[in-house]
Amino acid sequence: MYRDTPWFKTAMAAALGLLLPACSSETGAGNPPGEASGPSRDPVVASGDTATAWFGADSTGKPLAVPRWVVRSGSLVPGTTDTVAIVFAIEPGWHMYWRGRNDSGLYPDVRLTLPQGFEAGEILWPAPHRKISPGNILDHVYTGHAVLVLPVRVPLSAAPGSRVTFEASMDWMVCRGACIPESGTLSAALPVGPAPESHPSTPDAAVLTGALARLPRPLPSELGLHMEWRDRVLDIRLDEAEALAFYPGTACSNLADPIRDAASESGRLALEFAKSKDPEIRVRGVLEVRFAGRIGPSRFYQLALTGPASG
Amino acid sequence: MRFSWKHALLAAPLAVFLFAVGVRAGDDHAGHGHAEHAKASLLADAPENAEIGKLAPDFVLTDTEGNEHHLAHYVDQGYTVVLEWFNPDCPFVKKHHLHNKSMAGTYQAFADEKVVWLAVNSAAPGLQGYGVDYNKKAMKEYSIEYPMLLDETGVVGKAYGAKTTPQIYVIHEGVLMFNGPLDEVAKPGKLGEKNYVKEVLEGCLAGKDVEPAQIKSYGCNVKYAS
Repeated sequence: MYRDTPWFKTAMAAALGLLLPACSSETGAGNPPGEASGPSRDPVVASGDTATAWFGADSTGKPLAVPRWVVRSGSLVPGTTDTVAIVFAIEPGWHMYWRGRNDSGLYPDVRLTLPQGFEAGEILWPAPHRKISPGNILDHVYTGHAVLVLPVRVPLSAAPGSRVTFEASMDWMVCRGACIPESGTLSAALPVGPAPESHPSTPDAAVLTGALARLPRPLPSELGLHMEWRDRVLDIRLDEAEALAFYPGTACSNLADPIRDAASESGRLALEFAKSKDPEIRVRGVLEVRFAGRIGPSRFYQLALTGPASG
Repeated sequence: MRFSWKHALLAAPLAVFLFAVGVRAGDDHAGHGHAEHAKASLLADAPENAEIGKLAPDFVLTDTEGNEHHLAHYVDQGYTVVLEWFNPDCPFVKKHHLHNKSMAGTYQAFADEKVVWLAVNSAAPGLQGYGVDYNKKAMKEYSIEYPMLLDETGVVGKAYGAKTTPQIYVIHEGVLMFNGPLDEVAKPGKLGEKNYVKEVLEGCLAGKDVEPAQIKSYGCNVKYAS
């Protein structure tokens, strides 16, 4: 499906381009919005995030990971599907967790309240990075930013020029040498209206574009990925790849030795699954592919198959 | 033959000598009272690394009071041993020791049984949670009544594959019967309904046929140096 191809998504992002972050307010008070009456050449500034009741260990009350709402298109166009994201800016040196199998830590828990008439899909999680700690501890984490992506269906009834409140009540954990649990409610009044004519790029644009590129997409058959079971081992081979990695999701069966098996600097992975009473081996997670001879970032694919557990 | 003082006097040094040898042989196996072979520990054939359902790896560690704890001694005396990996500041540890008394409650439930409960801290020097005084302070704050073993080289933690705090192991008759969390809710703010450790201990102590179980633990990572 051409809509799923990376080039299309990039083109859309570039065309829509303008990513207008809601202004974050650490004092907890919302910033007054710039009023936009109809299409405007000035960037539309979405009204403030209200961060309330943060529980961080930081004595100044500022969390180690500060979230804000970001609207991909800049404003929510009635009758369309848009992307809204919760972007955490993570203190340097600290990390947050991906929603998948980790030996330690905790990924964010999000309870959403959407505006009237709006519908959202499941939160989408950009692919993480592997973090191996002493003692063979394997986690999958985000550093710099953690971006929780929410596809949103904007109802036709949404009034252009109005603002609608998105609210997320969240718990998350930020770790470095220690782990700090944080929580709070992130609320913002986001603008409804036609996409503005001018699309200045913002720092959030880069963060969101990067995150969207790391959303795992369905595995296309034309990729030429070979997969074969050898007893409890899944052999994965992609000749065009110079590196492969597998990030096991929450529903994935246990890998025997993911530190050894789940990343390679070649076009092959041999994923050994742990012995289990379960007759099924469920392979659920994200495959990262770094293509040889190609400049640019890796591609990420959803891997979902069930194996024959022979013997 | 007829008793003869001459023979007795000649035999005396020999008797003394034999007695001394006998006592010496007894000393080589102090406490066991076997003159010829020391009774081998139940854990003598344990694998180097812990495996569920197999004999538990032996170890000797010192606690915050300077007392040595030797796993094999407890096992050989017939104790069921609980090992609780611990780190004072971990939010998941606080769930069970500060915000709830789930760990203490489980410990208390078996306080009159032949169970030894040992906390283990494998944090390396310089890393979070390391140090005698720091752990003594935590024990006081959390009212921990059982020993806190310090494993600063991480050797025991690694032998047991301990990855998180908390992570709990139950050793019954020398065999690793359980490796996992206390409850089923992998969050620091909510205590679950289940208590896996209580279940295993009850089953083992009642002599039931308990299936060894390994359940994925949750918590902060154990702070090994390397």
